[in-house]
Amino acid sequence: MKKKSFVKKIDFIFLIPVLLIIVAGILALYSSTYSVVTSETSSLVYKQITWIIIGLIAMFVMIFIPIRVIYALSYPLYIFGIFLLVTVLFIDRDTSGASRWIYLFGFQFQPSEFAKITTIIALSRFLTESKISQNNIKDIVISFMIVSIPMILIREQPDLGTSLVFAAFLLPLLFWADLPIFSLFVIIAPFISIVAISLSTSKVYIFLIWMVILTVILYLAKKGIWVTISNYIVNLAVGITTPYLWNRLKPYQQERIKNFLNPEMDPRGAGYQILQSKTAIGSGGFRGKGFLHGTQSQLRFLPEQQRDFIFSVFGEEFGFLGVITILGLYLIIILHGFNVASLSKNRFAGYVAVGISSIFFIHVFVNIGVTVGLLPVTGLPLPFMSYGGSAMISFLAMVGLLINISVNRLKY
Amino acid sequence: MDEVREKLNRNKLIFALFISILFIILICKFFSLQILSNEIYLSRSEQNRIREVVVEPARGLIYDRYGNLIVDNRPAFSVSLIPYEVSRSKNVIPFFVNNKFVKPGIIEEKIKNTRMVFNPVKLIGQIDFVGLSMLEENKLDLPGVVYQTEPKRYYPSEVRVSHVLGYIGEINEKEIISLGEDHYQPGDIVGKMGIEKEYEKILHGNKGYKYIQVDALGREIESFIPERPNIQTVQGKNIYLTIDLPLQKYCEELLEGGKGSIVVLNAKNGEILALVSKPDYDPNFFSRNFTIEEWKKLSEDTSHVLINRATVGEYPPGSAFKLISAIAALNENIITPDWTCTCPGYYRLGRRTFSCFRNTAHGKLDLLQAIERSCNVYFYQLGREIGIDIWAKYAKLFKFGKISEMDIPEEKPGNVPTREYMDGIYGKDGWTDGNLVNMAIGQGEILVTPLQMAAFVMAIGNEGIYYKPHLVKSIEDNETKDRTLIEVKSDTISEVSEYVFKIVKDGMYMVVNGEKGTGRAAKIPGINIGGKTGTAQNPHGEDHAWFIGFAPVDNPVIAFSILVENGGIGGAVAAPMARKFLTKYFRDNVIIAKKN
Repeated sequence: MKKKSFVKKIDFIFLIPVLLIIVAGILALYSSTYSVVTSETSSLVYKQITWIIIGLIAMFVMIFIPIRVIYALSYPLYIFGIFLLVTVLFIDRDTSGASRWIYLFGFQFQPSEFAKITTIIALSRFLTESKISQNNIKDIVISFMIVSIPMILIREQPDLGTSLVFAAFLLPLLFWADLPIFSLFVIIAPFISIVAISLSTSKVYIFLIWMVILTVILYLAKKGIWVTISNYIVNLAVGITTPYLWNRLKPYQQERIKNFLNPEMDPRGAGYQILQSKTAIGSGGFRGKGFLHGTQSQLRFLPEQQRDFIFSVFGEEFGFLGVITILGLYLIIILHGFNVASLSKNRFAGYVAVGISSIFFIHVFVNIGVTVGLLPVTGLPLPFMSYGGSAMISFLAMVGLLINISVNRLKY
Repeated sequence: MDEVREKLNRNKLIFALFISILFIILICKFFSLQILSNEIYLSRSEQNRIREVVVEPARGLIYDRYGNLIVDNRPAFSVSLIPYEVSRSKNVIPFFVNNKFVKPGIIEEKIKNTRMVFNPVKLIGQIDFVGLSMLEENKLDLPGVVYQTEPKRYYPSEVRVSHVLGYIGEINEKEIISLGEDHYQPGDIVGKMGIEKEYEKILHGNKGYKYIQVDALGREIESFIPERPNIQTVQGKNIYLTIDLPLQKYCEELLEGGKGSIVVLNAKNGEILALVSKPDYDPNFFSRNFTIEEWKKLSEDTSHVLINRATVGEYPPGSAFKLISAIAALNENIITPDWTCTCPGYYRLGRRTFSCFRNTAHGKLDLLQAIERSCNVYFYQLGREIGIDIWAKYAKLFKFGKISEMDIPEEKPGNVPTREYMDGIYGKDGWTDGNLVNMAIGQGEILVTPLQMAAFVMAIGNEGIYYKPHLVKSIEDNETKDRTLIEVKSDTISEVSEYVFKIVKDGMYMVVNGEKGTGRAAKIPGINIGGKTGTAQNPHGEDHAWFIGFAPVDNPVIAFSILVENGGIGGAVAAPMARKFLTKYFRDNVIIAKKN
């Protein structure tokens, strides 16, 4: 009888795809560390398997923790997360000038991964009790702050990519909380302005086109003169100050964005990585070159390859067929996550599910988008495939939460 | 409730739509890359790949104590093949086979089982200029053929110093394990003997890695890749030996054509000034491609050319070992120097008769005279007085029977037969004083190495201070030019009193300077030499000739042992050699002193 109820407590629509993707990840990792001469390599695979095992344990723990316990601990966990992020800033910066790691008992551990989960939970709890749907300004601001604090702390580390992730789940959660669409638009508009002005460096009219679109939308929304004008001003201001802010970006971040825009321009530079990634993927063809037969050895020597370009390795060896299979599996996980969110009678649980699904989506889309040249290199890991202990454990814990929410969706 | 459900449903669908669209965009991108542009990327991927080339570090050089270069490096080229490219080319294997670079089947064998298809596999260890030119000329038809420099040693001086230096060769499995897999891999060249082996890690340096981009034919496109900067080699450290090269050369000449060993130590610190073992071999032998037949000839030579007789040869010491009995007897107060014996030329023990050298009757002798004339009969009796236990104890005190752990690995301990040992071999009642008296004159089961004898006589000369013999003076870092001096280890044999040493030293002085001293042939006017001869009987042939000693007697700066295998009488054959090289050494050093 115990066995039966145990099985009932698992949502296999989440579990099976996750396990399959993990297997694919191990294959890719093994292959990517396979033909290097120096011996710094295949131990990665064993380390990764260790992380997976620990992650699976964490996942099972998260499956069985009652939601109400998580609810109760939301804010304390969040504060603890902030505390860790602050601590890491004071620890010695590592060799590249970044301080992202805390060393605990000989293990490296990234607080930013932990902070992602705690922020989602805290924000979810807050939104459960808030009046976002009524455009309550105070609630909107608090929502922003809940997210901004860890975002800023992480960005200081510096880690631009991860801080973007925070923005990426804030918006879906606000939307899910029934924040009126116009308000959402107001929030998003300045970012579109930034993008527009950046693209305008070569094609000046882009920003102007955007301002025209903005005008149309504002007109159709009919929100009154003050709202309209203030939006205009904000967006114009953003458009003007962005170039100034550009100069405040660190050189390697500037480079990343520049090279993304035109990687062919400097094949020896950072755009080189993306070129090699596309070459690897493209050369895989329909069926791929086969396990361990990938020849893009240039990627094999890049340490970032195990995180940023693991999907390129996979794409080269398993081809288009392999790619759509894995993409399909990710899609199942993400869509099912939103499905579970909509079915969950516990509002808090619903928010958490949305937040987690958004995180998965953002990571998958950005990481894979990088490998095909859609986006500049960000350093976001691909869930269950990229090498890295903290990420693996945190993603598996998140899956555990999703399963928990799914299985208990009929409870309040 | 329903309204809420509916709204949630709607939200869910909006997300589902948005996400699906983005996923479709991704899928389209993959489609574009992998299906539409597959050909383009496939050819591009063929066109460039990175090859990791291991760059061998320059091996550390070896100098003598004065900075004379003994071992140098000379670049040599080895030819390697890249399995992936060779297996896809129709030309490579036939070219190598038809031009007689290798025998048929060898290449297939080597590239067959490697998983790392892009890493070069060594084919020919050292290629000559003609071969190299041929390969270069036909480069376009030979994809996947690369050259790598390989360390080869070059010996610019005429001095051999073979056994001290050792040689280098390709690493084997056991060595990979003992040296560490993280720094060594198959195909590496490591020290196999001597200093090259003992100081392998210091001499080797660190490998460097070069990342170059090559096209489908294996031609270099680009030699620098920003994402993967080259890792520089770190040159091996240089070693300054304690060897005095002019002295070493002279001693090598002295023993030329014969078999034996000369060991010369600096009595003040145990530095080995010369270590000669003959016959030896030309170290340049290992620097060229030698055939299996040549190697067999060298290693199976009946005169054991590769053996370092000085440290590995175990011989009976003969009369030279009488000094142990003398020291033991004096120190244990069993006798005083006046203790006399009468030698009629023979000694009867039970049913056996032991003779003195050539049955010479020495008459009545005290200790100093017995040492001077090397009277067997005196020491037969002395041996019985002290007994095997004390005798063995003192032998061990002077570090016989164990290795000194010096800085080359080839060393043997010799053998000190204790009571237990003799009981073990012969049974408790299987041996008698007859065996003992033989051992007292350095025959029988007692075995020593020439190195041990030199260290022994150094300890006597220093009146108890023993310095561990060593070959390396300092190690020099090539980058910083810092020199680290090797620590000198010393020990005091405090169990033996100064008084005892003085008496024995007097005896040894007489050996060389006394009218009837057996070592008269070593005498040099103006330099006080103390010594002891030995003529060790050897069941396989002529006696081994020994001469050990130190100079000057009062405060020795030099200690030595000379062994001439099957050389005959120590005083006649070995002692004159001592005279010769001591003359040279002191004259050269006086000149140096004068220059300074």
